[in-house]
Order: sequence, then C-alpha cells, then structure tokens
Amino acid sequence: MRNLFLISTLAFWLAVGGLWVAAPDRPPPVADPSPRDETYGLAEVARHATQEDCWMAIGGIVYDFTTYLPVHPASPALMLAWCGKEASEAYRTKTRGRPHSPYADTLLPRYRIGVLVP
Amino acid sequence: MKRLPPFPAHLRAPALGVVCVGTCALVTWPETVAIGRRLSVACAWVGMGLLATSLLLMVREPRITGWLGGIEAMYRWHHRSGTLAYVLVLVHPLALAFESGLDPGSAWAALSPGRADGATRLGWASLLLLMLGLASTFALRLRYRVWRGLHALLAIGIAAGIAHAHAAAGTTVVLAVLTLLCITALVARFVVGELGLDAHPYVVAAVEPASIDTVEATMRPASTPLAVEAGQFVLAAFGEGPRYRGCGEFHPFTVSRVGADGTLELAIKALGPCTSRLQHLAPGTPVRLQGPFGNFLPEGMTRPQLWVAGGIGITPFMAAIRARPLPEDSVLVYVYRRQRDALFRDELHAHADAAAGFRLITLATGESNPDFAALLSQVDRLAEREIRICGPRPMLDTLLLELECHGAPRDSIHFELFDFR
Ligand SMILES: Cc1cc2nc3c(=O)[nH]c(=O)nc-3n(C[C@H](O)[C@H](O)[C@H](O)COP(=O)(O)OP(=O)(O)OC[C@H]3O[C@@H](n4cnc5c(N)ncnc54)[C@H](O)[C@@H]3O)c2cc1C
Ligand code: HEM
Repeated sequence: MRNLFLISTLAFWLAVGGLWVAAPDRPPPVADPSPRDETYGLAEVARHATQEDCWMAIGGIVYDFTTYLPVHPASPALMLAWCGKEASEAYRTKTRGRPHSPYADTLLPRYRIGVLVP
Repeated sequence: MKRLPPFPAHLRAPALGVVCVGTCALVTWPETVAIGRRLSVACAWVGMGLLATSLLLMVREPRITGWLGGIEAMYRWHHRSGTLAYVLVLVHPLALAFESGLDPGSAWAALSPGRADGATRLGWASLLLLMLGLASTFALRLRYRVWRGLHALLAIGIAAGIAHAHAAAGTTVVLAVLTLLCITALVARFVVGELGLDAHPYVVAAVEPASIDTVEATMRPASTPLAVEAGQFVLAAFGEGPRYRGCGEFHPFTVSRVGADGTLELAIKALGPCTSRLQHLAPGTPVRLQGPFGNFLPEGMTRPQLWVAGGIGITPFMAAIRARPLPEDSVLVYVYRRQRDALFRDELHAHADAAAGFRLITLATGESNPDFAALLSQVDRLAEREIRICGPRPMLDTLLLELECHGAPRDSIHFELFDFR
C-alpha cells in the first residue's frame, strides 16, 4: 500500500509538473474573458443548426457550441437537437427536469459569441 | 427451504466495498463520449465510493466489527480502500485535463488552481489533504498522537471532496447518499465512539503492581457486564475517582482475566502519557468499557498450539490459560527484556508444573534481539501447530521470517499487534 501511494503520488506530480512546464505562457484562447458583444437575431442563430456548425441562444446570450459538442457529457444527439434554437429551457432542465451544475455554468462563457436581439 | 450457507466473515468487509463502489459506478456511469471525461467521472465516483467504504470500515461498534470479521480485518480493508480511492482520485483531474486531446495548454488550463473556479479549488484542497493525510499515515515513525492528528486530515479531505462534488456536479441522489454515509460513519466513530455514549460503566475494585512498570486492575461491572472471552480486548476510559484522575480517553487493552462474576482484569504497562498515569490508578475509580473486540484465541482450538508472547503481549494468553483448559500439547514461548519485566511469572510456572501437555519456555533477552532460531529448535512438530503471536512489530517480523525457514505454513500463523497502525 505504501509503495502504491509513493508511486502514484510521484507519477501524479510528474504529470502535473510536465503540463506546467509544457503549457504555453499565454492564457489559452478559451479562457478569453472579453466577450465580443455582437448582436444576433433568432433567424441568424437558426442558420447554424448542424453538428459542424452549432449555435444556441440561452438566457439572452448566443453561444457557438461547435467545438463543445464532441465533449458534452451526455450523448451528442441530445444537444444536437437544440442547435440553431432558443435553448434556455432545455439548458435549465437538461430536458429531464434536472438543472445543469454550477461547473457547467462556468463553461458557458468560453463559448459566448454575442447577445440575442429580438 | 434450504438455508444459504453464511457469507464468510473475512469477505464481508471487501464485499461492503464492492457494494458501495458498484452502486456508485452503476448509477453514475458517464454517458459522455469523450474518453478522458468518461474515465475522469468514473474514477471520481468509484473513488468516492471507496472513500465512503473506508470511513464505514473505521466504525468501532462491537456488533458491526464482529460481523465484519474483526477490527484487524476492518482496518486492513480500511487501508486498502482508502489507498485505492486515492489513486483513482489522482487519475480523475488528470483524465479530465486530457479530455480535449493531448494539448498541454488546455490541459494545464483545466488543472491550474490559479485560474480555477471555487469547485476546482475545493477539488485541489481535497486532493492535497488526502495526499498529506496518507503521507503521514505511512510514516510509522511519527509519535502516535501526532500520527493520529495528521490522520484526521483524511476526514477533512473527504469532506472537501464531497463539497467539491456538490459544487462541480450538483447534488444528486447518489451524492446525497454518499454524504449521509460519510457523516454517519464520522458521527458513529468520533461522537458516539470517542464520547463513549455506548460504553458500559465499571468500577475499579482492586489494583496490584504486576511488574516494575505494569499494574493489574480488577474492574467490577456497575450495570450489565460485557460478554468478554479470553483473548479479546476492550476499549477503556478511566475517569475521576476519589484519589485518581484518569485521562478520559479510550485506549485498547486485552483482558488478562475474565472472572466468573463478571469482573475483568487488565494488565496495563506504562508506554506513554496515559498509561503512565494509570500506574497510579486507585480503587473506586469509574471506568467505561466498549467492546468486546477481537477473536485472537477462539474457543474450541483443537490443534497443538505454539504461542509466542513478547513483553506485555502475554495478556491474551494469560486470560486463556486462566479461563479454560488448553489444547493437548501447547507450548508458550515468553520473551521479555529483563527478569523484573516479566509478568505473571510465578503463576505461569505453577501452571506449567500442574498441567500436563503445557510447556513454558521463558527467555530474558536483555537489550539484544531474541535468538528465535534457537528457541524454535526447542519446539517439535512445528508444521502441525497453530501458531499465535502477540508482541511488538519488530519481534513479529523476525519471527515470521524464522518460522518460514522452519517450514511453518503461513496460514496457520495468527498474530495480534498492540498497535492499530
Ligand atoms: C488490540 C490491542 C490490545 C492491547 N492490549 C494491551 C494490554 O493488554 N496491556 C497494555 O498495557 N497495553 C495494551 N495495548 C497497548 C495500549 O493500548 C497502549 O499502550 C496505550 O493506548 C498507550 O497510550 P498512551 O497514551 O499511554 O501512550 P501513547 O504515547 O499515546 O502511545 C504509545 C503507543 O500505544 C499505542 N496507542 C496509543 N493510543 C492508542 C489507541 N487509542 N489505540 C491504539 N493504540 C494506541 C500506539 O502504538 C503508540 O505508539 C493494546 C493495544 C492494542 C491495539
Ligand atoms: C486537483 C483536483 C481536482 C480537480 C481539478 C477536479 C475537477 C473536477 C471537475 C472539473 C469536475 C466536473 C466534471 C463534470 O461535471 O463532468 C469534477 C467532478 C467531480 N469530482 Fe473532482 N476534481 C479534483 C479533485 C477531486 C477529489 C479529490 C475528489 C474526491 C474526493 C473529487 C470527486 C469528484 C466527483 C465525485 C465529481 C462528480 C463527477 C460527475 O458526476 O460529474 N474530485 N471534478
């Protein structure tokens, strides 16, 4: 048990240390905090309704989820159905009456591309 | 209807782990497509299940420990499930970091505590606490009290991990059940256990010096007596008497005599602050007992026995010798440092003279290590005997090696250490 602890701890810190050294100094683009506040109408959002090009409007904000689709925890089909649509209700209830986690909320800004105008 | 055979006691603790982990894994199995995230979420939940198992295996309640095959078995699986959980919990953030491919930039962005949100910081806090707690757990050289304090970091680490899971994934039924299990285990151990809410009251009836640094205390039940058998131990907290102030904490002691009238005797050696104070124990002091625990010398032993006691490790054997006739052809090897350290010497020699088929071999080792090769060569039929050892860890380690050389099968060797670490 003691050796398992030592080896796994060592391997963990080697991996974390390796990432720290290998990571580029600039903050990655996804963490870009300045939102581009372009404005889009629902009609514009509706033109991006495919797996290769997926926008959604949630709570008055427009998101481009194209790069997020493949990593979404639930099956991609579930999310695909909402591409090009106003998806606030779907996001709030995950279509099963369960809200998304606060963690998911922290992911949203990374995909923000603008605000929705009526 | 045919009754099912009982589930073997020694497999119940691991079975508890399998149930906990299996439920967690089944109910929370990630549907996600990204392999990194799938691995990460699975590791997180299986890890949490193992951490909950580890906490449950720390509860010291006589019926539960009895059912789970004894405190030693529970502690063994407590260590194993805890360490395995730790390894999985280490994989969890790493796998998550690589969910979007092998790009060090985005991986570091997912891990870096500097840029993290509250949930991730809680995750890091939990991870570091678990790491520190386990590092000290494996540092056996630490003084017991320091060790125990640092070990408690693990409980805080698990609490932080639960908070992190609530923050990161939201409160689900599984998480609520896991939280409840952990809280129940912690309350059972640290509130009910340490405060002795389930303890039986006894009163010290007599105290006799047994050697230069050991006293033997006789305790009379103040209400229903515990059903203790020879070879078992109790957790005892000595309180405040007319002429004595106890240290109030529960410490484990093996009973050295089970009286027919419900009285129990303990031989207490001065090994640290609490046991040194106990050398001045006086009659009339109230004492609270929890237990009984252990199954070191089960009733109905029939095979020829070889018992080896080191120092204070004589207590379980003394209780057995005082309680019942021994199996035909039993040998007791009793090693101690100096003659004046030896406990129960006259009583043991008298017993050896009176009982045919019981042989006593004593040896004062001084400061050197006992020569077990020479001692074992005095014992015949070694391979047929059941071997039971109670003494300090270094003695056990040398003896196990020596027994192997003498051809004693490993599965007929049983031992008890007076240290839970
Ligand atoms: C199953 C078992 C049976 C025991 N039977 C006897 C006995 O019959 N007679 C006897 O004199 N001693 C016995 N001990 C040892 C006794 O419990 C310790 O000597 C006592 O707890 C020391 O406490 P302290 O405060 O005086 O010393 P500390 O300095 O706190 O501890 C000294 C050593 O005792 C052990 N210890 C201390 N507290 C605990 C605890 N709460 N739980 C487990 N181990 C602890 C540690 O190994 C430590 O290194 C037994 C221990 C165990 C585990
Ligand atoms: C460096 C440390 C850690 C980091 C960066 C981290 C990160 C994360 C993230 C981002 C999530 C959300 C995943 C998702 O929602 O899909 C998560 C979920 C979770 N974490 Fe951690 N974590 C860490 C340590 C821990 C520790 C120590 C534990 C356990 C003690 C733990 C247990 C969990 C659990 C049970 C979940 C829920 C999984 C789910 O169903 O989504 N984590 N973690």
